[in-house]
Amino acid sequence: MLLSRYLVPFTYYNLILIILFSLSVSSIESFSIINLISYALLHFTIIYLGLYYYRRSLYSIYFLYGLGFDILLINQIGPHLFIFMTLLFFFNLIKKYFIYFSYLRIYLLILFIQLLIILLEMLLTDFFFDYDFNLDKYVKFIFISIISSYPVFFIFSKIDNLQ
Amino acid sequence: MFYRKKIGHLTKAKNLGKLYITILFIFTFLLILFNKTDYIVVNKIKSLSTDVLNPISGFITSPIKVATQAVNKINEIRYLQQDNLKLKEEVKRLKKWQILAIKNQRENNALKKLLDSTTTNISIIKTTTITSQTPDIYARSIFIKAGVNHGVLEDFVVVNERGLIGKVISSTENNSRVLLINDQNSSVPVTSLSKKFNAIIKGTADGKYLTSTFVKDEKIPKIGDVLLTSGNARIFPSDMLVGKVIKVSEDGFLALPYVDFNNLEFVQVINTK
Repeated sequence: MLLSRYLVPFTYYNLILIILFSLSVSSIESFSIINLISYALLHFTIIYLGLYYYRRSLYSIYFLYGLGFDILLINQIGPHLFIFMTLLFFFNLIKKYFIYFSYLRIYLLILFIQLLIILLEMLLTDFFFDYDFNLDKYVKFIFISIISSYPVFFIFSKIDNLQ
Repeated sequence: MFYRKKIGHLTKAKNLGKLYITILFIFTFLLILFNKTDYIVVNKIKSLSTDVLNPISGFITSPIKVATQAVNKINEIRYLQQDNLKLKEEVKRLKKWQILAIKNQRENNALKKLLDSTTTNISIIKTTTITSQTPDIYARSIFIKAGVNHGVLEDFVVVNERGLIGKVISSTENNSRVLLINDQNSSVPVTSLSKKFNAIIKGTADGKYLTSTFVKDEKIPKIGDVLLTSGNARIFPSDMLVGKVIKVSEDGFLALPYVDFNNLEFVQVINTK
């Protein structure tokens, strides 16, 4: 009963983020696809949070995940942190236009933004830190995102109804 | 009066929130700006984050790692008989090599005595385990359970029984980060057994191979040539096994590393005396 106050959808999403982040940054022997799926889904979740649960604390969350990704995956600071912070700032400016969007439109919008930010992160990493843009990997991300995003979006809509 | 106080309080909270976001953005900008300059604060943030995040992510992913290990074990058991036959063949082959190696070692020792040469210029700092490995998304690196407290410092070389693994790029009290030689930002000066050419190699985008970035005097090696460290950069000691040339073109060559980077367990940190 005491915990029920804290068991709100936003808390569940944060737990999902922590799990996805952990799975994205530590290599799993023989099942490297898990890393790619978690990385793609974390981007999906973070955009979903930005659109549906916009609040000031999200700036800290975006900052920490951006910084964590940059340090653990690239050992440099820049691409993820910059993209995440800019994304949230961008959501703040244009969120009023999304309110009247239909369920399907929002889903497609999240998918589009997800693929766009992964592309931008890869391009920025190539440009600033000399990690060549890997088209094969990006195509994998596209496939993973398309296949996994709708079921995840459906599960998220169920989590939203938990409150 | 009460409403005015309440509105004033709300405005204050809103302003504080705005100030916090502004500070966060400024901090983000400064971190990105100072990242490339090797600024001491940025390095501290990097090592602190690594020390904090790695154990947390390791703990959270441990059930999945245990499950994947179980799957691997089951697969190993399935192919046990085939593996056994392969190993028997390998033992036969290696016994022949062992006899040859012992003979060569005796000969080497005798020649060294004649020349009065020192045996080695490498000192072993620490043999340690890997705590985690970064996935193949961007950089290729490993985290080892040895840091400044164990005498492991930046630029020290990391090897295993198969050959060169990489070099230490950052070191905290008890942990260190090692940049693997198959990373795109690594740079290893190499030569062949016959010392006929010199080149610099780095990892390919998929991390499976090593590719040449520079070849001295355009002397290209042959397919099958064994690559060893040349010792030119003075970071890597000379004559350490790196890889084998598998493809040659006009611009350079492609090599297969000797080390299996997907199955690293124990490594040795060494330093040239």
